[in-house]
Amino acid sequence: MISEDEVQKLANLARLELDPALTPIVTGHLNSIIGYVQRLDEVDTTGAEAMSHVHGSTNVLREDQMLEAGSVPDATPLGDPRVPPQPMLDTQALLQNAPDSSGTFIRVPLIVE
Amino acid sequence: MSDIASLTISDMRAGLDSKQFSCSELVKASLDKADSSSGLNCFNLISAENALQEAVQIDALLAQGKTAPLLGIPVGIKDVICTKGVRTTASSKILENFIPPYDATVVRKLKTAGTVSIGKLNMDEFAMGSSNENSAFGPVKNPWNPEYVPGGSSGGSAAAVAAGICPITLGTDTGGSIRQPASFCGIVGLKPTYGRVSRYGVIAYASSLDQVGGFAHNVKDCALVTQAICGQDPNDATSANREVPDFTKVLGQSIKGLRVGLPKEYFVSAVDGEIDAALKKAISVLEGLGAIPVEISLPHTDAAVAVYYILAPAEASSNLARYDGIRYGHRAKGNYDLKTLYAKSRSEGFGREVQRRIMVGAYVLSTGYYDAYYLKAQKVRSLIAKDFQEAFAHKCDVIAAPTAPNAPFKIGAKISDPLQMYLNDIFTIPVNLAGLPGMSVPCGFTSSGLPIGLQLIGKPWDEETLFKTASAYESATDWHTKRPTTAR
Repeated sequence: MISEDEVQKLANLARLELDPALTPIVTGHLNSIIGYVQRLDEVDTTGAEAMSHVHGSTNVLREDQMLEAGSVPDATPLGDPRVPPQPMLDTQALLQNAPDSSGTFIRVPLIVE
Repeated sequence: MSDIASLTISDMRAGLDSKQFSCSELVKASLDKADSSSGLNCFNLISAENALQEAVQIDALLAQGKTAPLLGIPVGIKDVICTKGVRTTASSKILENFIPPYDATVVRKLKTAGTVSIGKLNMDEFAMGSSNENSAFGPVKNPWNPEYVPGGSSGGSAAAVAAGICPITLGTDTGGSIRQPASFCGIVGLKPTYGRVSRYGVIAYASSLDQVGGFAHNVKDCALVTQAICGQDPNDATSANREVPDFTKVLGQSIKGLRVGLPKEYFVSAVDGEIDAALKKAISVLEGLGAIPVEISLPHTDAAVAVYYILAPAEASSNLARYDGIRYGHRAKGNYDLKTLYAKSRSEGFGREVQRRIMVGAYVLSTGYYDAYYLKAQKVRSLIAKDFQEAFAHKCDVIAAPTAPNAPFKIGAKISDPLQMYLNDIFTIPVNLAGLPGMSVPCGFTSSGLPIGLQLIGKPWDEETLFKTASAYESATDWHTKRPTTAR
């Protein structure tokens, strides 16, 4: 059983702010899920390998390369379906999605006094 | 030429190539249908202007006599798949203003095949859900009866095809999110083998399980959309270096002597009586076509949902750590220190189900619990994969089963009990855990007129047998020709 205190601690670790009024409900849901998955205790896994990936793939590595900034050329009908090597995305295009920016920087709260 | 948007691809192809209608007219019809069906809430965004511009380009190609299987075909894209310059939200408030600077590989492939995207389709937030009720943009409604759920998480993708808005759409499937909504909406949906399709540009939920696939009115259309998106991609190291066969070649081939495995664990009392009856009828149709039903056993079936609800939340809690309100996505307003800003931004941005799964993931990965939950689940996962390997090695060529244990349920019926919702995916989850291809094809209706799906499961990389079996079944039945009355 997970207690309400543990749920609050878990929320904090996951960087979530849990409304105290909702804590009992969330605790109930988590206990029902964790209670259900505990049925795995009954499965005999002697000799079973831990499987993290279906096809047993290994890392695919490549040389690092420097690319010019720019944007990926648009796909065209009946054009080449292959994705061209990714250029470095343009800073301004990326900053367009930043919630707060200044010049070529993302603005964040003061971290060090 | 009243409702050209609801035609199959073959009929659209014939109409476009014979100049019976133009791509611009077809796209306009698709947009009009999306508009008149707006009550179903299939779309998070409709890109009418872009679509009409692209249609003009396609019409120029058609005028030159150019043709290709998907040239000029309107499509819809699940809103978890990045589209360059077109808002992509994963149905989450945390990404409500996110505009991707690039296209996902599957989007690029569909564009070069000549399709025209008419918009981004509603879904469960971050693909977490089985009913499409967990969306920041509101629930999607089932075109067969708007009081019922369309299934999830790719609910908008399934409903848009069923409603006749566009003939093909893209979805993603992590634990059944293509097959279950295809079943609930009475259409065809295929989740390819893990690694068959690039995940580059697909917003990640559980990376070892996620796979993109297509929805369509019939098996041939599904083969065409699958064909267009498959293949290795240097931008996704988990996409496999495997030849992609021509899936349309096997359509219409005989299934005489094909051994169809019926897992005894999937034909149990937990399955609704009407579904069980429809499935048995479907199997006798396959038998009539020369297939040989064989009983098989997948002994670890009962553990699959538990394995999934450890591994998927664990991967999700890690994948979703990137949403912190700093570089992109929702940021809480106010003067907070960094840690508070993270927590406030994430709590305001993520819906309840997403927060629940992040917390379950954080729990099963935490010190002291890792071995008991995460490692144990990884071990059981390999036993589940082995069950399928054994069945395919010794007993059968393809597996037939219900897609879901129950028919579509009413909106609101299961939303307050997460565990009951999770159990909806009991027959689809094992397929993701084992990385196999799986398909749902329509095989009947309940007495209240809601669709039922037949699930076909294949060996790794053997989508061809799924298409062959489904196409044989389709040729002997007319379920795929039924359309909801609300969509007429």
